[in-house]
Parts: sequence; C-alpha cells; structure tokens
Amino acid sequence: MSNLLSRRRILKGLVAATALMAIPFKAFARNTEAFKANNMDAALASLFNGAQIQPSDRIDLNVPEIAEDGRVVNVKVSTDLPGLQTVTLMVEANPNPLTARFRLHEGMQPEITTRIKMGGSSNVHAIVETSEGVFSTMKEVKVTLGGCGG
Amino acid sequence: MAEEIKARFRRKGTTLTAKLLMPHPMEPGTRKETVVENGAETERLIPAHYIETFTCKVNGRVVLDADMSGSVSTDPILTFYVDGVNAGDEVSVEWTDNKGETMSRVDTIK
Repeated sequence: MSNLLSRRRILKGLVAATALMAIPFKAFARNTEAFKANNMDAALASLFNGAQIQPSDRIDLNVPEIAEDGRVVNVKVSTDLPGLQTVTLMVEANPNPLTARFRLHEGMQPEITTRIKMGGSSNVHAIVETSEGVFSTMKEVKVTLGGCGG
Repeated sequence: MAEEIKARFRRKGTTLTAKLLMPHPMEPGTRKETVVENGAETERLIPAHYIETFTCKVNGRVVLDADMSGSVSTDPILTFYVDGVNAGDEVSVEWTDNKGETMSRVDTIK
C-alpha cells in the first residue's frame, strides 16, 4: 500500500512539476506566430491575447520624422509607467510588422535604444506591458529610401 | 563563423550603461537577389538569417532578453541601463540566430 502511495505521489509530483515548467516556458518563449503575422492586429492579438491596449502619453518613442535610409532607423523607447515588463516595437507597413520584443527584468531602467528597418513610410508603434496593463504610442516616420526591397 | 560581439560597459555608481554592437547580416528572408544561372539572369530570395534571441545576464541573472526579427537593422545595436551593478560583477551577453548559431561574451565590470 505504501509502495503504491509513494508511486502515486511521485507521479503526481512529476505531473505538477511538468505543468509548472510548461508555464514559464510558454511565457518566455519566442512567439513565432506573432512574428509571422502579416498585419498588426494579428500580431497584437497573438502577443497580448486580446487585452485592451490603451494609448498612453507616458511612453516616449524617439524616432526621426524623416529617415533617409530605411535600412537604419534609430529608435529609442522609454517610459515612466511603473511596473514595466515588456517593450514591443512594430512597423505597421512592414510585411511582418513585429520587429522586436524586449523583456525587462529587475534592475533594468525603462529605456532601450536600437535600430530597425523600414520598407517605406509607416507608423512605428511602441507597445509596453506593465503590471497595470498594456499601453502604446505611435509616430509616423517618412522614409526616403526603403530598407526591405531588393 | 560569426564575428564577436562588440561591447562598451561604463559603470557610474551602481548604474551600468551597456552599448552593444552584434555583427550579423540580419537577412529577413524577403529580399531578392539576381543571380546568373546558365548564362541567364534569375531572381531568387536571399535565405533568412537573423538573430532570434538575445539575453543579457548580470552575475547569472537575466536582466534583459529579447526576441528579434529580420527587420532589426544589420549589425544590431542595443543600448540599455542596468541598476544595482557593482565593480567585479560579471555581465554576459549572448545571441542565437535562426540557424542555431550562437555568440556570447562575458565581461567583468570595473
């Protein structure tokens, strides 16, 4: 009897452990579906599970008004929204809008700078996830020479 | 073989400024190139080759990780700031691309 019990307990433990491991894995894994999405709505739905996205003026999205070379567009995102968890960059008119997604952990200041490619003039969106919800801002960038074509 | 990650770390008090440049073609897989085959010019897609994931750790603890697409610029740069970093702390950065290649470096902060 005790043998059986212990075996059942081990099995239960295993099942629980597997379930626990699966959760963080899913939360931190690259969302391939969102990266493949060919429009913003699909990418947003996949990333945020239909959560409401609120426009916020507390996100500073620093992009040039005019980019001469779409292959190299500087982007800086910062926010004073508390409890920042992720920063996502999307270029609305790119064939696959989702460009990059950053997860910020304890110690990170809420600011990231990188460079992205734009196939042509487009709205650039910065979407941030905090402990309070999902917020976004956007800016239009006019591109003189596209960065995705052949 | 991929080129090494270039990094500049500056610590002021306990705030670390990290400036990274990761040499990588970042081919999105949507660009076409013209090749000459049997004397005839044909167009074909340049295969996708880009960094998919990036991770930065301080003393083994992840502070920043990222998923990227091929529309991050060639030779991606990243600038970010981390609090709570002291002299002697170990900062590691690593990327993995869609072909499974990886590159990493470890720095001890002054």
